[in-house]
Amino acid sequence: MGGLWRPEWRRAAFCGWRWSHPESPNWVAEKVEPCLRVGRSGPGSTESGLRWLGTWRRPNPARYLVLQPPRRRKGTNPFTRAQEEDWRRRNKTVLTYVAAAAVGMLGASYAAVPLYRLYCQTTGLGGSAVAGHASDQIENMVPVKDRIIKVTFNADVHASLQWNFRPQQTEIYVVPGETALAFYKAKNPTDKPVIGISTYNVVPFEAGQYFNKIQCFCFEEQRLNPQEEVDMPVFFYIDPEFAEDPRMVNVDLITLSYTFFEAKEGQKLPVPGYN
Amino acid sequence: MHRHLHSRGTGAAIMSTAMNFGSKSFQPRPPDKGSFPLDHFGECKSFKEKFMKCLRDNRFENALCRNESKDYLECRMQRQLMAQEPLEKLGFGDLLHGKPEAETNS
Repeated sequence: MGGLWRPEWRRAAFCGWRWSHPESPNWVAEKVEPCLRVGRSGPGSTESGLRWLGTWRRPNPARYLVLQPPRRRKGTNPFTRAQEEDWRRRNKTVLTYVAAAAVGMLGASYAAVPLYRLYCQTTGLGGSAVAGHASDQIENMVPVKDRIIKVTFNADVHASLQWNFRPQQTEIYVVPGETALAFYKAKNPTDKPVIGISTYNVVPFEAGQYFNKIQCFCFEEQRLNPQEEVDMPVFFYIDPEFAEDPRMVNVDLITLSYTFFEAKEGQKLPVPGYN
Repeated sequence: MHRHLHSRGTGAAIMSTAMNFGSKSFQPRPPDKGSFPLDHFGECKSFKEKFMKCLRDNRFENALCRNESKDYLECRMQRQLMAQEPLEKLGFGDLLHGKPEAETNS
């Protein structure tokens, strides 16, 4: 019972629960006593704490027969002063290094944005992590002949744009890994030249990441003179990895949808991607 | 009741256009080789008509009309309506290799 009562626990700031021997008559006091006051030492404080708690019972004096060296203030011991100075200096050095590293990390995180942009411009990766994406892959890709996918086409026009815009084929059957060509037609029935700009959408969404356009007519201003009608081709392919994706097992229909908006003169729209 | 349904509809519309961090939204990607210049003078219209006729005859199967699409793109390249590229890079490598074989056979 008495063995569980350690003098150093009094000095600790930790007020955790500790199991004392429940049969000890002082067990409540012993549990609570370290939490009452911290840092002070000496036998007298125990009694005053317990007295405050109202559970005063004279503790066993045999406890205090354990000898301890008398306490002194830190730094007054002449034998360890040099060592403590040394420790303090090393602590300061380490702290300086750690602070410098933290500031360096913060600066690096700010510098990373323009640096990455520079890197993308020089290597031409354009924000995508796939290296050598475009032409080498097209050259070497092998069509997956047993997976036929129907691609349907949809054409939309914003309400303020008066073009007649429609696809020239309702659907086309392709296989992954094979490049395909499709046509849209646009006519400007008005008497003024109109500039349009388009964006596209692919449904289902997950299949959209496999839908690669080699060349099309989107995201750039297209100007149609009065009463002019043009053919707008889309040259695309579906990535061969489409056939290996387990999520795409049930996907047999992909819909490519283009929407034309009217572009104002001199308006610079942001192109998706990294430029 | 009607108002509740209407608000749900507009909410869905707003969801599709606004930035919702929960679900992924479609990210349009720019085309690999950029945009086709418009064929204002219809210089390659005949090739396009041949291609469309081929599609209609073959029930819109792309694999059977690849020669016509290759011809259309070659027309564009010759008329400066498309950047010059070797046809292998556009996925027509098998058509090019198949051609000399067909010539030697026939």
